[in-house]
Amino acid sequence: MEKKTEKTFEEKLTRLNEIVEKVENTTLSLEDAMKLYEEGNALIKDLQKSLNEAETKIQVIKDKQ
Amino acid sequence: MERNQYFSVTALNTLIKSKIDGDEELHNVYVKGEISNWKGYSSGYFFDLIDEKKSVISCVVWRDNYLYLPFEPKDGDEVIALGSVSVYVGRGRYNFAVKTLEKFGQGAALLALEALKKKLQAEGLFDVSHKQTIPEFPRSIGLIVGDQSAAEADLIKNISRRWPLCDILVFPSLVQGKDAPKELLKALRRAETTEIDILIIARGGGSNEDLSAFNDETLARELYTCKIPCISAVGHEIDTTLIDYVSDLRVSTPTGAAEAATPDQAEIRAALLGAEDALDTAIKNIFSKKRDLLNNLSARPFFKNPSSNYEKAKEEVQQLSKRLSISLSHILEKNKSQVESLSSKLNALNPRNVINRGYSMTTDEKGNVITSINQIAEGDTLKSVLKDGVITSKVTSKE
Repeated sequence: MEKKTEKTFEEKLTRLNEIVEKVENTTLSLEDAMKLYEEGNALIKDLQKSLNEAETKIQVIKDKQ
Repeated sequence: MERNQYFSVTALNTLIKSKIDGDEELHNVYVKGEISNWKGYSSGYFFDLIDEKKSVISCVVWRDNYLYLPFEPKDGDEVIALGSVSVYVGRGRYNFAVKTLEKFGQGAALLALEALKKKLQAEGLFDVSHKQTIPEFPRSIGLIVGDQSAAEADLIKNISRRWPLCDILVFPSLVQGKDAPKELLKALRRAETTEIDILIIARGGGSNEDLSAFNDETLARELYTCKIPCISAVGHEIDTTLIDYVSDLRVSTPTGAAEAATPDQAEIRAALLGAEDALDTAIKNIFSKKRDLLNNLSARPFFKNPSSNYEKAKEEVQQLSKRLSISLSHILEKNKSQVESLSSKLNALNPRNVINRGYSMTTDEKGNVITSINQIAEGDTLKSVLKDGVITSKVTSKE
């Protein structure tokens, strides 16, 4: 399980969608656009890395004897 | 009806058919009887049902329905058949078109289940409003499955292939037999003590008897109160157990459950690449828009000839200064002529000018002008100022 402090995959993905939406559809200063662009790209790299490194952990929970 | 008014055979059969087809009481009814003359054809199976009084009704199970019968019927079986009466116009016969058959005894169980289902439904256990949403990105999924079952293997394979970011907790349980309901209930309660995001209850297909554990009332009620969103995949498409009605989402296979529980990483990866492209395109657009704006601005007259705005002001200043200098010289001119006229007036009053015209001016020795004889005495020295010099003389007398 991910640490509580770190944002979940879903939260990061939501943020990424927000950024793409903002950069595509709102009027931004060049500085703000660049900031969002960099944040978005960092999120993409981060999410790709999560997927690449992910490995399903399987645990069998049987009745306590 | 008169003799000369008559039906054709077909018309009469058609009328009978429409009467029977229109009668709700003859549709979806249960009939108990013993099978005899069971015969198979490519289209389906034909047989008779006979009761104790030797009454007979012809029956048919069409091939599509036959495939889903819970057992292989044979002559002599005591059964309960569910079906509808239908008429064959061409042969003037009616028969019972069977949808499904239960061995007698199991039929009673089916009816009991039907009654239980109605009760739970009336209590709201199947209400759509009570269904929980299945989270889109689960971090852990619990499986209630038969230990080492095909369903377990299928779920693990598909979940880890689709969404490896999610952990799997397996709660093995018996899934058929008399102890299965109790075992399933224990597994469900164990699952409820863990922090899983989704629970999947799955079992492969089987006979109604095999699936009966999933029709257990206590299990259904426990699942209803379960706070974890639950997907059920019990049996095949046509087998719907109580668990399927109570669960938040019902699918027909373990693979379907894995698909409903997880996002597909292939799609997410594609979406990430899509986002990357979208960001690149958007940032390029922003840059080119700003560049266009800059180009537009620099093409404006002000930037082409920044002094143009000043030229006008400069000209105005020049105009003003010109006007100022002109009016100034006018004033000077006016003053000058005034000064000249005054100075000539003044000049006219200058005694020197009188002297110049041939007069003289007499003063005493100190230069005081003598204008009366009372100012002088005999013997005083006088000075007379003439046009071209001064005469000094002595007063010898005055009169």
